[in-house]
Amino acid sequence: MRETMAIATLKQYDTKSQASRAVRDAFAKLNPKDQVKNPVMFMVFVSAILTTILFVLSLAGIADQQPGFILAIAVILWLTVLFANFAEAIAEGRGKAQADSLRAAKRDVQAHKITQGLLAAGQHEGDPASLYFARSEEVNSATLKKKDYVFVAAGEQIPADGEVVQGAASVDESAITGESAPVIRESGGDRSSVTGGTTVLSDWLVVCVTQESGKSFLDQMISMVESATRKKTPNEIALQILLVALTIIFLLVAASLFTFSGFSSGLSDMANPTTITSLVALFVCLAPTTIGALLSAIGIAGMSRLNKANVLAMSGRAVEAAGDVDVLLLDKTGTITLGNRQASEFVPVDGATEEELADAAQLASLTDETPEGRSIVVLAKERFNIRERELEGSGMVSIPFSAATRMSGVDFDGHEIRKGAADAIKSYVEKFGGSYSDECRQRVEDISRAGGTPLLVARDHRIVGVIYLKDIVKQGIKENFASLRKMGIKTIMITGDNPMTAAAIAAEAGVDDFLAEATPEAKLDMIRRYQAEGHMVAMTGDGTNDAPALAQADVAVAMNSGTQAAKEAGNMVDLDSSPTKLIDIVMIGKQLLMTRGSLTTFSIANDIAKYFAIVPALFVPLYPELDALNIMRLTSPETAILAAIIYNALIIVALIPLALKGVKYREASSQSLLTRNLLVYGLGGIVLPFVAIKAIDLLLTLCGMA
Amino acid sequence: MDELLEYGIYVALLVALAIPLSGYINRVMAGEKTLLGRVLCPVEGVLYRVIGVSRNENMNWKRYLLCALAFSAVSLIVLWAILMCQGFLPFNPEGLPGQSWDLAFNTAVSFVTNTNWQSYSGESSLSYFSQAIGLTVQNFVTPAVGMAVLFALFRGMVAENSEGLGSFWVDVTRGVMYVFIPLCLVMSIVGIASGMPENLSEYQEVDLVEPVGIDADGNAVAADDPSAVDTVDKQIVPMGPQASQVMIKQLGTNGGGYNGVNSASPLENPTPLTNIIQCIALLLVPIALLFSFGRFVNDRRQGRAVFAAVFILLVVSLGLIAFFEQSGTPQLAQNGAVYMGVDGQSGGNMEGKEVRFGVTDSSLWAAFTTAASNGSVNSMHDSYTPIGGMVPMVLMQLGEVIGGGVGCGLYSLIGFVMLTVFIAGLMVGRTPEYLGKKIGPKEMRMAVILCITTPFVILVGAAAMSLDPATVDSLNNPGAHGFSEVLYAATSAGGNNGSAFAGLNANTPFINVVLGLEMLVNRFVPIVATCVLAGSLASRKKVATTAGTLSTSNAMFVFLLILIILLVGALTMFPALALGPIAEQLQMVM
Repeated sequence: MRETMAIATLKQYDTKSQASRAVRDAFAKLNPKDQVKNPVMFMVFVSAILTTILFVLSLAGIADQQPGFILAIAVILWLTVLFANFAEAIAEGRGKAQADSLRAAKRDVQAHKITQGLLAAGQHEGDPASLYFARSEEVNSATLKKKDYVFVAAGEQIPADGEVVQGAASVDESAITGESAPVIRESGGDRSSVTGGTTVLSDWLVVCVTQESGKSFLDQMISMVESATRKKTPNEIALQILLVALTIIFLLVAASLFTFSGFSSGLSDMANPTTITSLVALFVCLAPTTIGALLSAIGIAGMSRLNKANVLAMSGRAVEAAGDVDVLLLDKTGTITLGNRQASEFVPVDGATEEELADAAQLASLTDETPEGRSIVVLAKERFNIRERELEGSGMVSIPFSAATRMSGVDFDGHEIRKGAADAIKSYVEKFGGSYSDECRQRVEDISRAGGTPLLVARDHRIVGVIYLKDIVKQGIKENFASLRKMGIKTIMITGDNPMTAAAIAAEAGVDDFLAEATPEAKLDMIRRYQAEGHMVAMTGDGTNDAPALAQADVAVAMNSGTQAAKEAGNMVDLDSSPTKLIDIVMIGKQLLMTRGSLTTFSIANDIAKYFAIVPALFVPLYPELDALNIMRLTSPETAILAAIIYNALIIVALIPLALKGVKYREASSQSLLTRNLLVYGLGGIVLPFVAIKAIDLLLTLCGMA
Repeated sequence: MDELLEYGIYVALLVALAIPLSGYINRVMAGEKTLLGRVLCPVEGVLYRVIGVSRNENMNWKRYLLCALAFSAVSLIVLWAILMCQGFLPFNPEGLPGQSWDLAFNTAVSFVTNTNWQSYSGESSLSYFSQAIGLTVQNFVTPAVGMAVLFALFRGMVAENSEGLGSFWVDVTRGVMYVFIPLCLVMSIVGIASGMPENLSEYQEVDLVEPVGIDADGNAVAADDPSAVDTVDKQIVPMGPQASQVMIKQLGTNGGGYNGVNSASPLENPTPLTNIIQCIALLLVPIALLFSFGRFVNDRRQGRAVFAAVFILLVVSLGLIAFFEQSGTPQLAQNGAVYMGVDGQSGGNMEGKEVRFGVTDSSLWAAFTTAASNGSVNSMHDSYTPIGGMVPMVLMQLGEVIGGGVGCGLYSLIGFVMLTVFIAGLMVGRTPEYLGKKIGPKEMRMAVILCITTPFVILVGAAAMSLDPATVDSLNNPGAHGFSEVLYAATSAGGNNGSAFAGLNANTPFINVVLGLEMLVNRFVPIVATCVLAGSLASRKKVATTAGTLSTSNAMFVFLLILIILLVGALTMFPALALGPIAEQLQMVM
């Protein structure tokens, strides 16, 4: 995983300044306006205020308990609130640091706005810069509007997001992607989109502005890393509802307990042994403060893990949806197979020798600069040591690939050598009276069935053989898919290959299904079909023709290198433009949800031990027999209550790293994930506080608090 | 060993009868053909024409809910009026006057909410008209309302992108006509044959087999005792339409006895046969509905899973009650003061128990009547050992989901299922879903309401009673047991159970109103939540089940569901129980 510059910058001041910033923020967040956003912690906030008032009253002689004890409770409650603020601040700090470094890349520059129309093709052969400078005026980049044209020369920063309409240039996009190697941006095709804030290194571009200042990609990125998680997701809201309900019921438990103990002590003609201070402590201990304090940090941290993987999500909702995805549409090329097909075998037919075929194939491929073409030349050299021949001056005429003939090759000395797809060569040789033999057909089918691509070579209208172009399936991908399957995620390979070839590769790679001869419409149909069956579909795309499918998919990752239309249709952008990223995204989504669930379980499980600490402490004066419930053998009612509430505060701090990092994720079935998390966070959540509260009680006793 | 066999037979018989009944209820509520349909279908048609209801109406959740609430409101007002005006109404051979406004309010609420808490004694204060036309009618329709709302929820779970939940009127009518009337008819005939009264004649005065003497202090002594100043040789035997009301009180999880002592009375429960029929009827329909659920959602494993959770909790509770009642207390066992064995006669803690039933039949009944939100009793729960009495209380405090009331037990249980699914679902890394439906904020809000309404109502009710200084005067006992009596009353009303711990004189205006409000809130808030939930689920589309989906039908899930039910109950009730039965138990053994 490559680190973005933003992250690199972040690391530099990660430790000290960020922590001190988080501490400052933790205090700033004591503002009731911030507190009220988190109902659970707001109640702790109110409790802290209440106990503080009780302490002040106790100094004035109106005390329901020792002033020192009330003060201790009040201080711990304030710390609990601060710890929760700190957790949120530290998670936000990461995003803020990232946003800062992005902001550094975004500054207003002078742009050459073209005011007198574009030059026609061919007019700018000589010195386009001076020609365009003459036709443009200098404006501030902030004033650029949609559909304005700007000229960008070498060494200049691109002033706004846009589409390249003329020229080609190498562009440094490290400000956004962190990738220092320059990329090529040129007019036409899928590499035409440029981002404001990136720099042209060589040559020049004419860019048509597609986003006004303030709405640019960089602006969106900044607002995303800064604020995307501020808006609560449906799942967060649902969890919040549960936490609020628990808080309300525990508030009622504490309040009603006051009346119950008053009533019971009345029956025994005693004074009510429970005090407001101790009931406030009981309430705060029972309320799900651990998860309440960490909930928003978990969400922010999930988002920043995604950012760290160089993926920007348009909303927190998209990250959650990623956890739910159960169908992945994966492009064959680059994801399942290595980028390109390679020639792996020469299969001569109709009596030709292998060397003859290799020779013809090599000649036909000399001017073919595609990776497939290069691999044929390499194979010919490896097998028969056929050297590269110079075309220039040899009288050979190169025939480039054309969509009409779907063949390429060379003409020399009256010979014609052609290579191309089976049906193209077949009709070519048949046109000139040649024949397409059964043997040839057989070989072609064999290769297709094995998942290869057959490429026919003809010399002088006679087929000499078939080149076996092989797709190389990535190592380890099969295991990857198997573990995805265990998690209930179905993988579907998308390819332009014919069904026979696709089936063979699908089998080799171990995907669950494939879509052969895929068109954008077929992709869209497939997504709709799966969604109608109740599946959640994720895909990646880069071309403009992917946009409808991206818009339809539940999780749609657009490549940063892709077109503007694709980026707008998707709900995530992959800055690395890596096709395998989809799998990482799903993991991050699942990890986010698991962290939420595990800490909720932990938080609720903790209550059992707290009851055993506090309930006997409250009622022993009334019913001494209830000391039997004091199974931790805590020293005194005061130390018991303090120990429980100190544990309650400290556990928040202790769990911040886990909230930020996320719980450990393994690729396993739902059953084993559940069992594992229940053991660690459920059982652990029951046992740990017993041990910790006892330890804190011992410490308090040692300090002479008893 | 005989005791264990008896416990086993009761439980096995309950399950064996519930399974076939579940299929029948399902067919009835789905509007399919049934054997009884040949006879009843035409009657049903006439009925719909008379009340102007279309058989095929498909209500959305708002309309369904409105009908349920309106129906209950009208029932409440009519019943309240009947109870207050019974002195002017017919079928009142004893000439009993109307109830006071607060008692009538409490009673009306109690029967309309399927609670049947009784702050009165039926045989000495209610006319035949009030019993049969007032109370018994509610005993038939309230379980049908619960069942109707439950099936509306089922339909919401099954539907996709729609809003129709069926017709409330059709659901209630079919529930009463096809399920409750036929079953009750059969059971009543057995009851009458066994000696239960079913008539409209005046109360009978009969000679006592053994006259009783009264001494100068008003205590009962032997008739030939020298201190006797008076002898009693006659007794009044209450008559009336008893058998029919007794059977529906069990079948419909109502529980309101015709007589004050409920099914401990030989008039309501004359023979071992009537005891076993009634005891099984306590839980029969709630348990059957668990299986109906699986059938209705086309995945019987889901029904079996919720049944397994309920069954395990029921058996454990029964075991605890039986163990503690049989063991009695250290004081009873001391020096062989009381026989603790089981050979030849019932031993153990026999205080407050009918000698005819002993510990076994009493424990079974106590567990069943509080697991189901029934509340009829055949023994005095106030006299149970502290833990033996706490378990029935806990069964109610868990939200009446271990069977619970007809319909309401299961829809509340589904609230707990959703809570479990939500927490466990997150732990497997997906946004939670149940039966293919995503649990969003709206579903969660309703599920949470279903889970915490009961503890909420109980705590508020108990706190209100604790705050009223007059409550102390209503108590029989001081100390921890006194608090248990208050807590039990608040719990019984708050759980819509209606069983009495006794020991608390609940017929004061304050307690009548507090308990009445408790019953109302705990009945109707969950009904609202269930209808909203049903509507929300119906509008959602289903997501596909994959290996990554949390299974909601395996042993792990059953275990988790039990854990969540116990956890919510324990976390909300533990401090209160510590002041009542737990303190009492510890005082007793230490």
